[in-house]
Amino acid sequence: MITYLIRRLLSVIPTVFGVATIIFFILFLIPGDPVRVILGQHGDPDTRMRITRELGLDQPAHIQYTMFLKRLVTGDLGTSYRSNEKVLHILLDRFPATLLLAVTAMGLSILFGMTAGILAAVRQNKFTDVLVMILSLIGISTPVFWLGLILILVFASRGFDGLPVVFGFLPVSGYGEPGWDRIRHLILPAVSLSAIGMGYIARMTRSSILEVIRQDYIRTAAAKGLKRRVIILKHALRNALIPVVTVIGMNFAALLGGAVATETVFAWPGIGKVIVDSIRQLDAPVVEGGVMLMALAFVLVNVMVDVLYMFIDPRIRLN
Amino acid sequence: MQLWNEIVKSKLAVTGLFLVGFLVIVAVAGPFVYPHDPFRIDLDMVIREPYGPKPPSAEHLFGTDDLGRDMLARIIYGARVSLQVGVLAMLIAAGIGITLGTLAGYFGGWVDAVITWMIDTAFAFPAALLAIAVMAIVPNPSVFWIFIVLGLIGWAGIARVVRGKVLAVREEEFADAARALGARHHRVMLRHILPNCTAPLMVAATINIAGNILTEAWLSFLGLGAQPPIPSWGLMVTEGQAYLSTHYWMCLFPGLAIALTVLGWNLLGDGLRDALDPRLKDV
Repeated sequence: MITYLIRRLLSVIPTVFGVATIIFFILFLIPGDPVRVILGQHGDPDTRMRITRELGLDQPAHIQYTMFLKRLVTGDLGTSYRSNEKVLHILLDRFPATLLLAVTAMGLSILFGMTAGILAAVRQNKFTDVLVMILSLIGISTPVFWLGLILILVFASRGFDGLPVVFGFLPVSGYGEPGWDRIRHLILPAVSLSAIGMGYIARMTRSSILEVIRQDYIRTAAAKGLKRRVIILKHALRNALIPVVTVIGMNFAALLGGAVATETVFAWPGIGKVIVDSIRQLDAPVVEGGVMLMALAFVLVNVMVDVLYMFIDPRIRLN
Repeated sequence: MQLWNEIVKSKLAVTGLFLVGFLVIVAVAGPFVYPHDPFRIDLDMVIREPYGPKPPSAEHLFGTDDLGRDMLARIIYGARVSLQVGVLAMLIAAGIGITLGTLAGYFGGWVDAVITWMIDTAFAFPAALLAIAVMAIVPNPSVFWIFIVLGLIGWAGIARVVRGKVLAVREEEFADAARALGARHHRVMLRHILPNCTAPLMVAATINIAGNILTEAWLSFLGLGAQPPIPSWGLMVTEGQAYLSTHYWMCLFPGLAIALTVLGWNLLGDGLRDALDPRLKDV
């Protein structure tokens, strides 16, 4: 098992290397002049030359690429064009906020998504099932950023068009002070970010359980006289879990993408917001670094998913 | 014809078909039918009391934005942008995906090994995030770049579906018969095998379109897609964000348009899958 874990962790390296390579070629191939971004329209030629040399932009592609990889290995993601701060420093500063948001949203998705999926499977083709299926399809189809704005609209302390303020008790923007205040600020962004995952997880849980409960061992369990609740939660769910966990892992990419929008909408000071702010300021190193960090997070989460398989299903451990 | 009957039987598929059909009609005919110009800035409208965007009225059904432009006209025009991006990006993705998927499934061996590795690698990438990286760097982000980028990241899903199906169809007797009659590889692939992959391909393409439309809206919302004054729905939500608490219609309607459109494509995809593969229906 340890060997497998190590092998799986090592397999992360080519993927991260691939992401880095693609980002490098994007930066290299697409025309755009970072020097001009740094200096603005009116830099004098000498300064222009100096900065070009400092950034290594006068070197041929393969040398630039080696330099890029060398810096990457040492954790150097470059320097912000705007603030002259180290990109890694900026990102690590914002990392806890994104982690808190992403983990909370994922937790909500899993909790409510799986519960809804189990309910739908148990009541297949009944009202609950149809309702869950429709709601999860709506969850999958609604843009995360717009859902956030609608929540703000509903919870905005002002209400709108003179309607009475019913839901004015939750803050709609910002990070809050550590503690209870932080949790209050977290609720709306986390809820809006969890919608997509909830939808996917509910659908997958439902279909996976429906597939499992047709198998013989479930009939045996029923014939033994076990309670339906025990059969579903203990016998069916465990075997139905593998595809659900896969969806959770795949969905993490959507979650990170959604976080970029959600953090902007709710002024949540995480990596996503810093990416969007940097896009607007044409601060490419911060954007690329942020994307790279998120890509790394995605790859690592999927390694965790693979490891989780072994705990859920001993058969995978043996192979 | 049988397929059509199956689709009509499913309520979900019919709802999806209705929403998508409505979108297509709006995108094609809407701008000719609806009298307002989506680009015309009406400052008289803006300075009329109370100052600012005007709420929905008989003249402007969805209200106007901060420049006095008719919201409904912009949403109608936005349907074109959305449909174009969704379908064109899907065509690029399908072009790459079908080619690679067919080659992998048909030839097997090392060709399959290489292409499968490419597909797996593509799935290990958080593609949408890479789209940010690309769009942040292109000199002038525009709808054109979006469908190129979306097309280039969406192929893996389609390739996987096609490969699986080709792998199964290749073993069928009619494929053997075609080969025995001396048909060349490309003829067997194009004339005998691919037509049998239409069903799963249609499902994958429909779901790909839904994803493309959502991603376009998201990129445009972030300022990385369509640029003003193009009325892309995502961009319109951004423009409405500043007016959210006072002039809700600027955010509400474009977002609703995105949600309904994506819902329509997803419903159609689900419905198609049920119709084409009855085995899955109860599952």
